[in-house]
Amino acid sequence: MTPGPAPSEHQDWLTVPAARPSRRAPLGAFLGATDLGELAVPFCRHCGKPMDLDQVRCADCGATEAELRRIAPAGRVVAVTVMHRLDQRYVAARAPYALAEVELDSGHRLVCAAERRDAQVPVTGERVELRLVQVGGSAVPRFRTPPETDHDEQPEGPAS
Amino acid sequence: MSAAAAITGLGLHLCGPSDVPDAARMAIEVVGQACREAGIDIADLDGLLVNRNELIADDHLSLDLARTGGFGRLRALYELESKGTTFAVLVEQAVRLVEAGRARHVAVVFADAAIVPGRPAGAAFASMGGDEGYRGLERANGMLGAVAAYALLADSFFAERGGSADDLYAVASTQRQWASLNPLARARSPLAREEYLESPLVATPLRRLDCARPVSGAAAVVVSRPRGDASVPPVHLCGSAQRYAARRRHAPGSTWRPDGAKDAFDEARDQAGWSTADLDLVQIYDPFTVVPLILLEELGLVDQGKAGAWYADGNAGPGGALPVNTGGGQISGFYLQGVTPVVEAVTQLRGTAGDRQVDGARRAAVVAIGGRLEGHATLCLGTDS
Repeated sequence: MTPGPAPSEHQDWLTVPAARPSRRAPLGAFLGATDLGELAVPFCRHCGKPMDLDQVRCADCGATEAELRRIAPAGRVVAVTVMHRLDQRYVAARAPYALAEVELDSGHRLVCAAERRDAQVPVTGERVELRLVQVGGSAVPRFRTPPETDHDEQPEGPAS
Repeated sequence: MSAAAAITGLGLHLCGPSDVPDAARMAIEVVGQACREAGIDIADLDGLLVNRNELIADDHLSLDLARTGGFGRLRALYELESKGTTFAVLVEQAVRLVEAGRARHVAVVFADAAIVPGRPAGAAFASMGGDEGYRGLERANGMLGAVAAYALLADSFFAERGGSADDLYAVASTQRQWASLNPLARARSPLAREEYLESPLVATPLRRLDCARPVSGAAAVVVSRPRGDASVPPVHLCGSAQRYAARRRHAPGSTWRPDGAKDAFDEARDQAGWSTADLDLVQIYDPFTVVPLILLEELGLVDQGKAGAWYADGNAGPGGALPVNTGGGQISGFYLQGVTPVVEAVTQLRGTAGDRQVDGARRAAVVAIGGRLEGHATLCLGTDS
């Protein structure tokens, strides 16, 4: 995974800097990794099962220690929507945009928008990769669909 | 479950669009209404259960209502926050307190000052979530408000069971039919398919007319041992149960399935000794039109994949086989988080629902949800103890 450009060099196509995530726990370590261009998520130190970013006790074995592990930024789409309400407090885009819930190969799930403005709307079950973009000084994951994929639906045209 | 304690009083206040709401004042107003119906003075209350609501408003109720509301010495005072299931859970708790002799008259109160003049409801709810944890990451991806989550939930449901805009329209139009008979409903004109389809998309597949109508307002019930000379019929709690399935953000398991809903529903019915055929009406917490579709199938009230057609055939509407959300629900009626279904069930069981009264309504199920379909609470309410 490649780090996004420095904040001063880049304006995200989708969100405004005010949409930046907090760097306090539980996102601090996650965003610390994305700063380095890596996607790292928690696993139970005892049984190795995936855990949520803010989970303090493993639901499988009861252990209370998690460890961040670097993972491959790839997975499949499990649900999709296209956001038509454009809340200007947080959204710079002026056209509807897709959101996809992605289940990473590690088992972790994240809801992501597209890396690029002109991305096509993914379909459920489709393989995607995650890339990082800068939002208000933090690198956040976004999905990228394979370029050869055909789709029937596209969001309305990009903003001028 | 409860032969002695019952809902003996109900209070409701809905703000108009230009009203500036005050949560504590509204709360005291509706508690007073409920006490008058119950035939007691507000000073007779010895239990106060506060429905904490942290959806969006800065002005929300807390334990301090005991002081600001001028209550005397209480035997029970607490507040609870269990998202959309809170009010249903507190009704059960109030019944238990009275049944156990730990209090004589218990008020359960909710107030929401979320909507103020000049602030659109949708924008207010879109600011939910904040910047921390998963919600912070989601906001940085443009995922704003409950509607985005429920849109993903709807997409997941449609992928599993099939579904279309026509199914959502069937729910919206049916609830509008009921709303047309409810003078308190916020949208009362018939809803044509063309009007529905022209409604702006918010997050596919959900349109503006698929979304609940938030209002500022308040509601309260009083639970007491019924008096023989009561001015309104008591409504008994015949069964109740809850389930809470932690919504994890990792496999295995779905992010969106309503795990636990059927368990809560069946357990409450079993306590009441009711079969599904015994139900005269169902009140479902409906933040979005897709939720009644999901829950009716999940609870086994409608065959899987058939809920949209079931609605379209008129089964949930006036005169239908199983009336659902008979005041217009939260979509065409009004959205007071978790309270709307209870208020409507009590109104129907009392026989005071006017033009929308379901003939012979004696047994009602209130199906409440919390969060993103992760909390479930069912109340079986009836006219017979």
